[in-house]
Amino acid sequence: MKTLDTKTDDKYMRVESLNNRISISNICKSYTSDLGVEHKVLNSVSFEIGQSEFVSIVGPSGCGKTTLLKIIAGLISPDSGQVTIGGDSPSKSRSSKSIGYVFQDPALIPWRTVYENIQLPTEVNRQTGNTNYRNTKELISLVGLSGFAEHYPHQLSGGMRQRVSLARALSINPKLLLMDEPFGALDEITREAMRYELLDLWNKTKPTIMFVTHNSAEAILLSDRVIVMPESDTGDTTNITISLDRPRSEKTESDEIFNQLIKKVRSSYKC
Amino acid sequence: MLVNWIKRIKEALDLIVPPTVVLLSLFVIWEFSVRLTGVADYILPAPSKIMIEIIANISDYAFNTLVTIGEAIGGFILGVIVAIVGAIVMYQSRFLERGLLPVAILIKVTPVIAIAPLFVIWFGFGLFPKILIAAIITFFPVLVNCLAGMRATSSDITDLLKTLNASKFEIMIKASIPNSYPYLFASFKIAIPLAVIGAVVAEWFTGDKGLGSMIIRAHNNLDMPQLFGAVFILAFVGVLLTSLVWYIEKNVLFWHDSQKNQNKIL
Amino acid sequence: MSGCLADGEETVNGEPENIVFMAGYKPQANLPFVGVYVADNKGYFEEQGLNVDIKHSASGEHVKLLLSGDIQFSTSDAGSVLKQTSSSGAPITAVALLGQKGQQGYVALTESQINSLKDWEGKTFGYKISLPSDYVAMMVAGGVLRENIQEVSVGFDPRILTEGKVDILAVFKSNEPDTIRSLGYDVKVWDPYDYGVPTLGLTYITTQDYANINPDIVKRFLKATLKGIEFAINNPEFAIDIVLQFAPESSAEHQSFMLRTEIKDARSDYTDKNGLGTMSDSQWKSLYDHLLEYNALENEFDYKESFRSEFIDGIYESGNLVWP
Repeated sequence: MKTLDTKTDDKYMRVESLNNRISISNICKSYTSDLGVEHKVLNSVSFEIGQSEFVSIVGPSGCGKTTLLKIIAGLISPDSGQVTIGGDSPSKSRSSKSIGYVFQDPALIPWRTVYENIQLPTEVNRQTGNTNYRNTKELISLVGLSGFAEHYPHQLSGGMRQRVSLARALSINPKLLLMDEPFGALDEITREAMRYELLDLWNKTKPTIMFVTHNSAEAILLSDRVIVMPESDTGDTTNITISLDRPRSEKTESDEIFNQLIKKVRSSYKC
Repeated sequence: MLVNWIKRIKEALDLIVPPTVVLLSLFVIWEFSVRLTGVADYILPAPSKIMIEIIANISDYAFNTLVTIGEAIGGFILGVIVAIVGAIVMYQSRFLERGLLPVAILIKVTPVIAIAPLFVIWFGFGLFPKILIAAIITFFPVLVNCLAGMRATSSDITDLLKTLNASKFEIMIKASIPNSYPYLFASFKIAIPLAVIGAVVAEWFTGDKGLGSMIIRAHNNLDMPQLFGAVFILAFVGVLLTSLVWYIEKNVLFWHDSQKNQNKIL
Repeated sequence: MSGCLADGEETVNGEPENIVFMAGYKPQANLPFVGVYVADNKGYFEEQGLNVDIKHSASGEHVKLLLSGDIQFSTSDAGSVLKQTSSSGAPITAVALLGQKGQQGYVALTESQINSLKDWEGKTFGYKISLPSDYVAMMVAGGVLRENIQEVSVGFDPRILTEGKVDILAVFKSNEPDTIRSLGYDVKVWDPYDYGVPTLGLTYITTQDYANINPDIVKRFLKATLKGIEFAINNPEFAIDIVLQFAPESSAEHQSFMLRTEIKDARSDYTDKNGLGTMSDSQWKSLYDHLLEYNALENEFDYKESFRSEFIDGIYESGNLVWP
């Protein structure tokens, strides 16, 4: 069982001093299916995320979690509504390289070593002038992969690859870390270990995190707040504050409040 | 150190021995049939006769082989360069892709017989028209594969790069183009033998050097041992060049799934 | 096939002999082709008790098919007969010589001002596949230095001359000069024969075995075809009409040119005396010696095997065709 290091380590620069509040207001997005039927995937979604907050987004499949993340990252434009990240629009955040993205698939570049994969974000779009990068070697040990710097993705296990993906996302010191079911493809044991590792990293580097997951228990364990997306286009999002103590641990899961929160989250699924 | 070398030699033998055995068996059957039926040389010569013919004129064969290899490799390189450039252009937009693809198909489908004489008129008698013909034949499979490989780039990776505000150019250079390498190498294995054939066919239309010219002369003289000799050497060249591609692929694509089973050739 | 019979008689049960003739190229007015076309059209084959299936070679497979027994008669250039037998020992033999002079010629555009052999120096000469031995001999005869000529191997498209890529082009006298004129260019033609180079043209060929086993059929075939050639000489337009039946897309003028040119070369003093298609030992020996001298033959062999005169000689009496 992994305990968390609560000591603040000055070596890992916190981004608290930078504004990384997220504001999402009235985001609407529809898709027209092949049959010509319009699906309103996001129906006027609004919420705020505070400084360095860890927020999970849960909900049934198809309720727009991934779409929302992509809108925040600026990969998709909403039909209407506004997103600001630390006061900037998504495209400004992109151009200043303030966003880290972790997918369910590690999406590592197979012909690059671990070291080179983590370096990738810093190589791209150099003219932003943003040089607030993390040291790659430090990141590698941060995610517990010291000694594997010269390995290639095909030589790593799934969990190790996902850790590289995480390190890569952190390499640019992002204000906002978007994570789309990052542990979904991993086995149970690795997934549990990765959760605590993530919390450890978050504690050391403190970006704002938006974490999408299917797993209510995971969401509750990790987050300050859980946002439940509605199943249909008529429902509202539900905001559930997670009033569990940090640091979270295995003991947390046997806490009575934990179970109550799970019930609360699950019941919010049906709107 | 010694163990390493022994391993390498064993690997090499594993590759060379099976096809050699098969080939030799085929030759033995062929030799046997010819001797048994008493077929004349000018219909079907025995492998032994063909070998004797090759050895007796080894310097001729060597010279002409080098000529044809030169044309084939030159054409291959030219075809590959144009194909990759074409793929990059077509990658920029679906509109360009849809517009240019029919042109590429047209080039592929036009028979060499129709264009070879024109090439000679336009480009003269030297190596260039033959290199050009080999290039034209090489071009299409490489183009199609390169484009497919570029378009097959993981959308997660391209999304990631977009969140970092990478330019279209950067995405192409860092992700799409390298992603096409396995596809490119697959197409190379198709294209190299085609380039050889292209060079040989081109030699039928002009020039008196190269294995293709040897074949025509042998045909006119009814010299079957020489004709088959040239054909054998041609086959050998094809295998050699394809193996070369495979070897390079092994080293460049070490990271790719296709390399997992080390002893497969194709 | 039943046993040997007297000339001109059908087989015992009155059934014609089925044989296959394959012309050595696609349908056109080469003289030996014309002989067959006319013999077929005018019923000469029928009269000789022959049922001839006429085919054409697309890509030079006719000699192989002759050797494998799939066809019985074909055509070939006399030089090719010698070269092929020299390379492979194949038992091909010529039974009639329809080109007393060779088909090869050399052309230059009239506008190029190349008028004599000496003018070839400093120019580019294009040949097909291999450097022709008769060209080399012609240069020797004309005292021309080949070092000053750029010799290149070209394809079969005469536009290489009209587009100025070569100054002189090796051609078939009965073919390209007309093609080039139809492109709007006048040409000057050189014939190596005029410079004392021994050249011979098209022949009818068969295999040694077939000739040995079926001498009678060979004679009947030659009778019919030579009668066809006689007819073509006297009725060229009719002959061209028959050719066009086999080659409907070609032009009558071009076929007419081909036939006229080849008819000219079919005659010699020897044939005037002995009949069209006959051949002499000295003709073949001269050609053989020439090819050997200029390294156009892989191996030495007995040239007498390449031609058999007994059949063509046997169809004439005092230079007149015996019919039927």
